[in-house]
Formats: sequence, C-alpha cells, structure tokens
Amino acid sequence: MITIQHLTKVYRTEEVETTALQGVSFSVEPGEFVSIMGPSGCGKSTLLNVLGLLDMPENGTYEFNGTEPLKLNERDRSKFRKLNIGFVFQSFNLIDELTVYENVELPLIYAGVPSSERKQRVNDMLKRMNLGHRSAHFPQQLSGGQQQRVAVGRALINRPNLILADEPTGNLDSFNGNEVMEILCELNEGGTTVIMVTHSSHDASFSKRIVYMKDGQIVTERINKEKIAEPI
Amino acid sequence: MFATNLRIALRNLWKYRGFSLVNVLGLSISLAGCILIMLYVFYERSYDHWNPRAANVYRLLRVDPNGDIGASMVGELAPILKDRLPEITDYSRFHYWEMGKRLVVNGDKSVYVDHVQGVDSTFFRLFPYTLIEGDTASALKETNMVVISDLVAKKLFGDKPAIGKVIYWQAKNPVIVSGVFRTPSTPTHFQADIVHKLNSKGDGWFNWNFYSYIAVRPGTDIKRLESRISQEVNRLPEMKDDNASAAKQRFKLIPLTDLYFRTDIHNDFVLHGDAKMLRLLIGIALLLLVIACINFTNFNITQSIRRSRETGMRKVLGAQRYSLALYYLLETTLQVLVGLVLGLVIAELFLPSLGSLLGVKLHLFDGGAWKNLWVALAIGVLVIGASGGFVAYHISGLEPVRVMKGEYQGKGRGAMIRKMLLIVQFAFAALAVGSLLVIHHQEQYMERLDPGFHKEQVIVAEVHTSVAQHWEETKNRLSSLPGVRIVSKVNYLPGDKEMQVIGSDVQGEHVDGLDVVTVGYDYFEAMGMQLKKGRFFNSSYGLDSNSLILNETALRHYKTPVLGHPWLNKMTIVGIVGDINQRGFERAAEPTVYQIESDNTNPCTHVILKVDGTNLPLTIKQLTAAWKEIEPGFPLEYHFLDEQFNRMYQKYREMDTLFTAFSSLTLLIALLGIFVLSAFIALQRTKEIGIRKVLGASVNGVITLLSRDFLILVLVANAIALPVIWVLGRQWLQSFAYQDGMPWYAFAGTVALTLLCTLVTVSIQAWKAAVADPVKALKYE
Repeated sequence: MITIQHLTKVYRTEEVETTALQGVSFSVEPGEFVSIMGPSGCGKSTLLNVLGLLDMPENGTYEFNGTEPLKLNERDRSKFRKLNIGFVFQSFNLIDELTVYENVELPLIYAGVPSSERKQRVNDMLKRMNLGHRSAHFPQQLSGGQQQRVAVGRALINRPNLILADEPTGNLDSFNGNEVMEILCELNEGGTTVIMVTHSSHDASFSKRIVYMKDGQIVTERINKEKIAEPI
Repeated sequence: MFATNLRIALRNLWKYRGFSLVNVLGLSISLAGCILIMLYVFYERSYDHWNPRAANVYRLLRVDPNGDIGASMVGELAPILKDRLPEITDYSRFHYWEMGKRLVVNGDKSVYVDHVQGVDSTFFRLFPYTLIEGDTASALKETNMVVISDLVAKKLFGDKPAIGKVIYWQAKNPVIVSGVFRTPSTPTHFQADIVHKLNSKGDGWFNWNFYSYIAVRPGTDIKRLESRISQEVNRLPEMKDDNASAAKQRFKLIPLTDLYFRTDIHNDFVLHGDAKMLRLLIGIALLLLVIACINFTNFNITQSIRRSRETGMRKVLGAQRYSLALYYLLETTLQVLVGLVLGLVIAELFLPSLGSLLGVKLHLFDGGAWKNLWVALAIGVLVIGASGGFVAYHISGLEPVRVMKGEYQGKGRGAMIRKMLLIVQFAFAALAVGSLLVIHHQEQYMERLDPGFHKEQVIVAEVHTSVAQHWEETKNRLSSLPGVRIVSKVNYLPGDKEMQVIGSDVQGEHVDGLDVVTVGYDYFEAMGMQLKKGRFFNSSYGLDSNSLILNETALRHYKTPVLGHPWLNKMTIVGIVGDINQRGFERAAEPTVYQIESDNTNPCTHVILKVDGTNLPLTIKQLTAAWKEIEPGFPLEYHFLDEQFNRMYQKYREMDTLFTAFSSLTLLIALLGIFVLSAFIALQRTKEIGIRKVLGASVNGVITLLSRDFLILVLVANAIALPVIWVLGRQWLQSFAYQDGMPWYAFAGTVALTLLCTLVTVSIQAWKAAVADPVKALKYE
C-alpha cells in the first residue's frame, strides 16, 4: 500500500540545520497496524507528517497505492488527503467554536458530501464512538477521552484507507487511552491501515508491527506475533 | 460550507467578544467620522446641483490687466452680447443696488427679509426654481412683481395663498406677489428669499453695478466664446470711450457649479465655500480610514496567529486555500457590516451637533446624500475588506504542519508588518495631534490680538433709509438716551470684506486699492481707535467734510500723502489713525481713507453707539422706542460690534473644535489598536512572563518589559510626524498676515501626549499580565 524510499527531511533555521529524516525506506501493507517508536526528536512525527502530506521531504520517493502523491500540487495534495487519510493527534485539535457534531461533519463538507448523507453518516459515526448523546456539546464541555473519540470519529468520517495517529493517547489517562486504542484496533480489524507514532510500549503492543527510529533513521523493526496471529 | 463558516465566525466573534467589541467599535467610530465628514463635503459640493440647466449656465466675469478677476459688470453688456453672439441663448443680471435686506409689510406683519435679489424677467430660465404658486414665464413680467420663497410666504401669509396679494416694500412701495418658489433641495451659491424684477435695462456704460449670468447652447466651446466676448466688448465704442484700460480687458466665463469655490473673484455678492478647509477635512477622513484599516489588519493578524492551529487543522481536514481565505474574509465582512451599521447610527446621532457647529443642515437618509455616501462607503468597505483579505491570503498559504507545531507565532515578517503598521498609525495620530495644537495656538493668538479698536460696548443699529438729512437731530436724540456716551455713523464695519475700493491718479501717483470708509463725526472716538498724528474729524472745524483721515498703512504705502496737505480729490489730510483689523487675519491692514458723509460719498448704513453698559436693558428699551421716531415703520435692528467682529474668529473656532474632535478620534482609534495589540503580545509572552516572575522579576519590571517596545515604536512614529507637522504647520501659518509662529509645545505636546496615552494603554494590559499567577502562566501552552 505504502512504499517510501530514501526519504530525507532537513529543517533549517537561520543558524541551525537539523536532519529529521536520513534516507528512510519503509513499506506498509494494506490492513497493517504499524507503531513507530523512538526517543524525542528521532523523526517519527516528521515521518508521519510526510506520509500524511502535511510536510514535504527534500529527497526520496513515496508511493501510495500506485500513485506518487509527492508529485501533486498543493490543491491535489489537499484532495488526496481528504479522500485517503484520516489524522488523529495527541492534542485532539478540535475546533473549539464547533459542536461535536459539526467537528465530525467538517471533513464531509470539505469533501462536498450532500447534506442528507452527511447527517446520516455523522450520526452513525457518533453512535459508533458512543458520543450520540454529546453531539450538541462543544469540545471544552467534554473529557479528554471523549474529545479524542470525537477526533477519531472526525478522522474516520471520510472512510479513509489510512489512519495516521500521532501519540493519540499522549494527553489521556490510562482508562481513556485504552478506550482510544481499542477503537483503533477495531478499525484495523475492519480493514483500515493504521500507522501510529507513540512513546508508549503499552500502546505499541496493540499494533502488529513496531518500527524503531533513532536520529532520523529506522534502526529496527519487530513483529508483534501475538497480534499477527489473530485473524484479520 | 457557507453556513458552517458563518457559524464558526459568529461563535468566534462571540467567544472573543471583548476583542471583537474593541475592533468593531474602533471601526464604527472611524466610519462614523468619515461619514460625517463626507456628508459635509457632499453638502458643500452640492451647491447649484438642483439646477437642471447648471451645465450650460456661466457667470460673465472681467479679467483686469493685472490678472484680477472682477465680478461686477456693466448692465448693458449682457443684452448686447446675446444679440451679437448666437451661442448665448439667455442672460440674467443681478443689480447690486437692488439686493440685500428689505422690510416687507403685509397688513400688521412686518418682516425683514435678508436676501432680496433684483433680477431680470429671464431669471427663471437660468435658475428654474419650482413655483408652487404662479408660473415662471409670467412671474417677473412687470417691475412691481415679486416672487417669494415658500419660507417667506409662510411668514407673511401662513398657509393661505400668496399669489396676487399686495405687500409693501420698505414699508411704503406696493408690489404684487406673482409667485411662490419652493426652496431647492440643495443650496444655491446666492441667497434669495425674494426675487423682483429690475427696473432698468442698465445704468449706463460707466456703471459696473451688475452681475451677469449667461446661458449657452449645449456643446459650446467656452474658450472660443470667451475670446469672442472679449473681442466684441473691446469693439464697442462705448467701452473704448470709458478709458484706455477698458480696451485691454478680457472676459471670462465660469461654470455655475464652480462659482461656490471661486474665492479669487473680487467684489462678488455670492456665498463662498472654503476649498482649503474641505481638502483638510477630506484628509482627516482618509486618515481615519487608514487608521481604521491598520487597526483591522493588525487585529486580524493577531487573531490569525491565535487561531493558527485551527487553520492548520482545517487544512489537514482537506480545506482548500481559497475556502480558508473565504472564511477569513467572511469573518472580516461580518465585522465590517456590524461596524458600518454602528457607524451609521453614531453618525446619525452626531449629525445635529456637527450641523449646528458648521451652520448647515445635514441629513444622512434624506435627500441625495445617501446616494453619494454609497460611493464613500463602498471604498471604505473595499479597503477594509482588502486589509482582512491580506491576512486571509497570508495565513491560508502557510504549511499546515508548521502552523500546527506553533511555528507561526507572529514573529519574523508578520511581526515586522505589524510594527510598521503601528508606526504609520501613530505617525498619523501624532500628525493629527500636532496639527490640532498648531491650529489651537493660532486661534488663541487671534482672539488675544488687539484689533486696533475697542469692540466692547458698541451697539450697531442698522439704517434702512437715509438718516443723513436729519442726522444732527438723530444724534442728539440718541445721545440723550441713558448709558449712551458717544453716537456716530459709518458705512463699513470692521469685518466687512467687500468695501468701496478706488483707484485714482493723485498728484502724479497712481493710487490703487484704497479702501474708502464713510463716517460721521466722533466715529474714531466711539470706536476707540488710536490717533497717531494730527487730529480726528471735528464738527467745530466746519470744513471737515472736505478733510481726510488716513490709516498708517496708507501713509506708508503711497508716496504722495502728507499730513496737513491736500491729497485725494484735493481734500486735506487732517489726521493719521492706527490700523484696524478690517478683513480678518489672513490679510494685513490695507490702505484706508476715512471721510465724513456727504452728498459725494457713499451713505452711512449703520449708526454706532458707544454705551457705558451700566443699564444695558434700559438703554436698549429706550433705543427701540427712539428708533420708531428716527425711522418710522422700520423696527430697530441692532447688534453688538463685538458679536459681529467675533464672527471672524468663528471659522477658526469651528476648525479648532473640529480638529479637537477628529484628532481625539484619531488618537483614540490608534490607542484602541494598541490596546488590542498589547493584549495579544501579553498573551503571547505569558510563558516568558511566568518564567521571569519565577526568577524574581517585579511587577514594574514586567510592565516596563512589555511597554518598552511600544514606546520605542511611538517614538519612531513621532520622529516621522514632527517634521511633517513643522512643514505643514508653517505652510498653514503663512496664509495669515497675523501669526505667532510655530508654538514649541506643538512638538513637545505631541510627543508627550502620544507617549503618555500609549504608556497608560499598554500598562493596563501589562499590569494584568504582570500580576497574574506565575503558575498559570507556566501552564499556558
């Protein structure tokens, strides 16, 4: 599904040049659940951002289901993102001025989905996230776990092939963290590919494969046999 | 999409209602200021626009060999030109001696009508007033016919029809009301309450007491017509007989709609607008608009920084650049619309005060002003929309990951733009404050200035008939009144600008531009004017009707006058008096000669009474009673000389008030901008402040830290504004003959005021940040 080769990303300021990715090569099969781990500053979030087309690398190739999204212009990248990728962030990034319902609905509006269909899909998603009773609330009125569930619902609403999660439980207590991880597993079991950046070995244990990074490079990979043995 | 964006925009504005209120309020105040100024500008520019024939009506003017343009015209000229030049389709003249104030009597009602105009029967062809009663074709057929305005009709006849009624002109001559005209919706460059037909075709070829208007065929080449008129006139034997200089005269046509702003025309009878003042006001309106735009842009930049994470997330969710830009524009538009509505409400509230200050009736929604206002408002909205658009374009183009990582914190280029805008804004505010101080200083100086006479406790009574024949009797009667110390008479009072000016050859010298004032005995004593040499007029000499008194400027200006020797018309100069401020503060004293009223002089039109003021009500009561015997049928009309003279300050007092209002507004709006910006900076530096406090920084230290940058920017703004104030101030002051130079405090005051206001404004926000709990600050972000 995803193949990247020799990806390089350098951040430059006036005085300092920081290499975030040093020729990273990596591939993900459809339906996989991959965790990326490593110390702070090793380049995991940068890798996730490049995979999500939120950031552009200096060098390297990126193939996604036979297309090369790095060659797209800004407008088409945006289109590609909304059709294929869902994002979940550590800090939720919900829009404070919109209700739960409206936050989840937003990607459908950008995708041009008709109003009646939107209503159906958003209500289904909120039910699935167990947030039906909270649809008229604003993000500030929810707990952290509920907010992250809204963010996950929003990431899934466009039925993406790929979920990119950047430390999705980083701001949550263990109970809410587990709840979010279970949702991601459930999604993965439904066939959605998940790539997750995490510091937590506990969270990584939910994935089928764990990739370790250090100093902008992939240093090792480990297959989670317990998970891989389970039927997809 | 639109509905979602609108929802977010409204909720966002509500969530940050404090900021939004300050922003919208600043905008609405600026717009209100702009609207008020533009309404006045439109009013001033609307003169004669009611006249559908205005495009083809011109004023015929004379250009002297020295380039001066004169308004007065020989009466015979216009009819001859119409006969000879086919381009001229009509003409109408106004007669100098047939205009002015008249007493009009209807039964027991006596009304002084201020503006009566003696015109030709063709008047309505050039000035097609709408007649409520009568018809324009026949209304001015006979010399005993008058057409009155609806306002005069109301005063004289109430709601009853006026047509066909006989009224008495100057209390004795019967005339018939042949029509009533409706006062036009926009003003006219001459004032007319009553028009009546002239009683002659002209007063001879040497009598330049007419003002002539002509109507031309549409499409006429005016330059060509001007030269044809000049050729025709110079060909006339009557003009050649006048004197040698007449043949050299050129003639000029000025469009009707330009006349109001032509202050360069000598001896004119019409109203004049102040184009300089209008330009100044337009400048202030633009200033307000620019400052409002800067506030708006700065506000939007700070808002966009605060909401950069939201913007980034929208991009992640698939928002295209244009849709983000549209969203920000929608939010801007919402604020502009609210600001606009609020601005209109504020303008409507302040309209009566501005109208009474400027002496005009301004309407926001009545009449044509609304249509004109659309243009100005459209420009304002466009400019402000563009300022919001700049931010929308900028932020929508940022890389989402950078924005979400908090890399876009309004540092670097954004901060630079913000600082530059702030400098521009405060440079304008400093300019407004500095200009106000210069104007205020000059206005105060003019009020303190000695005008050369004692204007206090002098009553001026208007003379409607001739009092010359029974003057001694009148003077004795008035002198006997309680509280009256001196009685005299004069034709021109200080403050009268249009005076008799003569040019004549005296003892081989060409005496040009000499003002001639007709006075009675004791005039100088009553006015408290200073005797410099010789003596005042004195009736005991008996021959003083053949004497002259000159002012000091006349003595200095001409070579030939010598005290004690004959001069103009072989009359002897018996005294030299000090100069007085006759025509205002822009013009220095001009050469003036005073002579005693006689059959050979212009008549005196005012009686002046120097009173002691001990029992003024009794004096006036007795004066009113006495006047019934002095001018039977003419009720007493009086005023105090200081009131009339003080009208010369009026324009500058108005200017001072206007500038105080608008400069305060400019400064206030700039301060609102700084208030929002300092709040933002304090928010942005919350963490830094927290750390500093943990490390031991005092409240004062934090306030200094946050204020210093703003104060430096305001100092830079002052450095830009002060030289401009100096140049513009000097230029403005140079238009005054009487001026006190640039006041030092215009500079010091501007710097002190802008710095102080900035310090207070920033300190409010800085203090809030400084006293906040440092733990909260550290939790931020």
